[in-house]
Amino acid sequence: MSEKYSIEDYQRAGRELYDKLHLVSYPVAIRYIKNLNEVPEGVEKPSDKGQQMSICQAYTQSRRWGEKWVITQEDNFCTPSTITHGWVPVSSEDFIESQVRQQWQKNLAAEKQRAAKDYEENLKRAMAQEFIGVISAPLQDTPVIPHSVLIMGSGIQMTYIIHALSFEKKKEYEVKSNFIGFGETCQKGAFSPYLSNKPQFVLPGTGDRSFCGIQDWEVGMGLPAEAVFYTLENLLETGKGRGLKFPLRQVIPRLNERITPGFIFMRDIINKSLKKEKESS
Amino acid sequence: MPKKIYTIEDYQQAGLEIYDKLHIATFPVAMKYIKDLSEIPEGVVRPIDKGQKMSICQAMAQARRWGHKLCITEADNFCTPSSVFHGWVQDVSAEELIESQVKQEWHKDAEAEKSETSGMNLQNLKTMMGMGYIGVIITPLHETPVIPDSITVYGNGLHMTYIIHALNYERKKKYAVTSNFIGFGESCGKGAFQPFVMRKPQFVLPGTGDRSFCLIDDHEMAMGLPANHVFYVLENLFNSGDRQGLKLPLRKILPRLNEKITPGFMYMREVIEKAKEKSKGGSN
Repeated sequence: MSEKYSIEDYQRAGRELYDKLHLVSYPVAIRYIKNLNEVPEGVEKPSDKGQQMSICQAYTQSRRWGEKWVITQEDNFCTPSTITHGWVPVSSEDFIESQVRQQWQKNLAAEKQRAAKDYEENLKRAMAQEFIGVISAPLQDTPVIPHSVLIMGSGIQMTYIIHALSFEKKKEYEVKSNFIGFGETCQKGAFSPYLSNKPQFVLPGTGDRSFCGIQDWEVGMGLPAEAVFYTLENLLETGKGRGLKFPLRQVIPRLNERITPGFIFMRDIINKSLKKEKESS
Repeated sequence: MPKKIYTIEDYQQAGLEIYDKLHIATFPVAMKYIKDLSEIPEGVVRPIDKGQKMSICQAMAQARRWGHKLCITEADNFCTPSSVFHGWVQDVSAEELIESQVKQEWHKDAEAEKSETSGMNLQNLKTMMGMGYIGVIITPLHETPVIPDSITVYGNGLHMTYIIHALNYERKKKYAVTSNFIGFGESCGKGAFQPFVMRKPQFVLPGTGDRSFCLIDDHEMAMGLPANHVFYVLENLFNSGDRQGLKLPLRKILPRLNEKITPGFMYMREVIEKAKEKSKGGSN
């Protein structure tokens, strides 16, 4: 099947988003692969250098350093995310046990409730895709047609994107997200937008915050790849002339000297001084 | 070598470049001090003409966020102490200035206020009054209608580090950044008037006016530059450290980790290895 947009279109969109929104890091192009022969030249595998890297670290290297990486199970030290991406089929029990050992939830019952649901709803679907890894690259330099695009930025930058996605109130671009504080960039910011074909708002999770040096204020938006073009088409259009623009135009209060006693005192002095000056001239 | 004379267009271009190269969230602000109202170009608005008042820091916020062009004089400025500190009103005594500050209760007592106000500030005040200015034109740099006297660039801490690296690239004394902090008069005084008068850049940690009247973000700070320093900043921007220096995006070095970091990761590695062995065995 021929793609609607070329690699060059995506690269251009990457540059436009980065420059128009004044992002602090590049949008990330993400593509899932079924075979290592899909990895283009110039894309590196951490294990080839005797290293390991989590998926969220690879996205960070792409968005900040402009690097291109492929992560498979052998590269990924965040082994649960290898499983949630379906790269290695495992049983529900093993998946739950790995999460219980992390002690993320209060007790086994809570973990079972979360992990079992995740296994049934998402993992089985992920495993059925038969992917073995993911390519991560800065969008402006992507060597492949991406499946999804992750944009990290500030709250206001996400509001601009949400306004663009919601501009026509089309259901397909609606942003509706659940939050659990884990798997935010790798899952919600990338794999979920690809699988569900829906954008997802990302509040960075435990991996992002522990391994990736993410800033406290950073948030993100995961988009099905083609949605970047829709975003660009509608960027800063909301409200036309009076909507939020870039720079953000905040309405500041209209005040006068009555706001503090020192200001009023000095106004009296100024007026006296001006009067004196006028009289003498 | 003759000193380079920069045109209005040069400054406008620099405004665009700083804004785009640093990916800052608001426009750099051009400040020009005037001695007569006749210096105000067309398109620059005075709040008082619309029956409104505005502080200098508010006008700077309007310029950097909305792209507005404003002129503030004592008649426009509700922040009356700043009118006096800029020397726009003559014949205000030291006692009166101190009294206005005591009434604000910024410092513990009159003694503390006297020590603050009667030191450098009073010295400055006499100099300011002698300069004969009556107001300031405040516009976004990329649209400045005048050659500015100083430029204020707002951004986050990282943006300021990029600028500081550029200013220090040749370790020239004239570009060295040394600043005092008292939590007041930061944008109008330190970020604009002081760089103009002292010909030195100043690091701005937004003060009381910025934070009370101007909806400034907690993370925002600024650099006040003598206007033509903006060209020096652009010349040296991102040069520090060559390829291994700080760049935009900021390239942070991540920790190199493996599965041993948590028990669940280790457990799952073992499961994965077993699954791989099993699938290998199955495929034989």
